Amino acid sequence: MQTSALVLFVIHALIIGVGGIMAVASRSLVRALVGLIMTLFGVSGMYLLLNAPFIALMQLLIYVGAVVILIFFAIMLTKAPAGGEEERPNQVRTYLLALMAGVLPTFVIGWVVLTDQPASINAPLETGLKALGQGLMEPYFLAFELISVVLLVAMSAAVILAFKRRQSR
Amino acid sequence: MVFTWLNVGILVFLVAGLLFGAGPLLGSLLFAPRMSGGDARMPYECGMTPHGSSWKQFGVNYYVYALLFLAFDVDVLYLFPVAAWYRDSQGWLPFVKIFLFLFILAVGVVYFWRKGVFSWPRRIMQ
Repeated sequence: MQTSALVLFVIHALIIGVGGIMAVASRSLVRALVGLIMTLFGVSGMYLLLNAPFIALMQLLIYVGAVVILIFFAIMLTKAPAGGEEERPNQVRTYLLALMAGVLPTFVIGWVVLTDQPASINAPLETGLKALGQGLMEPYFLAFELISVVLLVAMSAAVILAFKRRQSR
Repeated sequence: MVFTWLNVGILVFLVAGLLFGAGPLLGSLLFAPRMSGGDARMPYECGMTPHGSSWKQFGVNYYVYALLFLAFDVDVLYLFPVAAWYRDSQGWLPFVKIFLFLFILAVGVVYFWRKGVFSWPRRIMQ
């Protein structure tokens, strides 16, 4: 079982990597977004391997289902000018810096995880849905209520800023 | 890392989906006649010819709908575990807590409704 989990890990990592490269390298914004979707699917698979099926499904529901749609709408709203400054080939130094920006956090996180190993590093424990719900309702009740306030503020701010009243004509 | 039957099922579906997507492409590569020129590169090969670019700016109203959908989507993330636990809870306090949560969101919905967000405009102004 451990080897098959490792194989699955490699498959997910490949999906994430290929999607990420596609998101960065493709010229068309829509194709870049398809790469992002691929990456998010791979991350969801990683959550499943971490024994967090609820988070995996929510990753699909929120990121793939809503955030990506939102970005698609943002692309539709804006008009990307052809031949913008991103189209010029970058210098090698830029690529090196970008690579460093990606790789360094990986090493920092890996170092932290390896030096300060959590108890569940080998066999992740599944936190049940009910335990999550109880946590939200009892100890973290104030945070739970504040979430709805945050969502209300986010929604109404979007409406106030962007919504145009229908013009009577 | 955990490997369960759920992962096996997902893997099977992944392979099936890849075959489902790649099969027709391979089939058309093998069997379909090749042609180029004419209307083959048009968005619609038959029918009316499109005029103008497809990079058209859309009304910002669509974005508002997507944002509202995103906010309610995030609600689900919090309401789902609470709903699963609700059966095991006791007393009226959990009900009041969830009611408060939903009430704050309902205030938002009423506000949008009054503002006319939910009535689809006949013609979206840019």
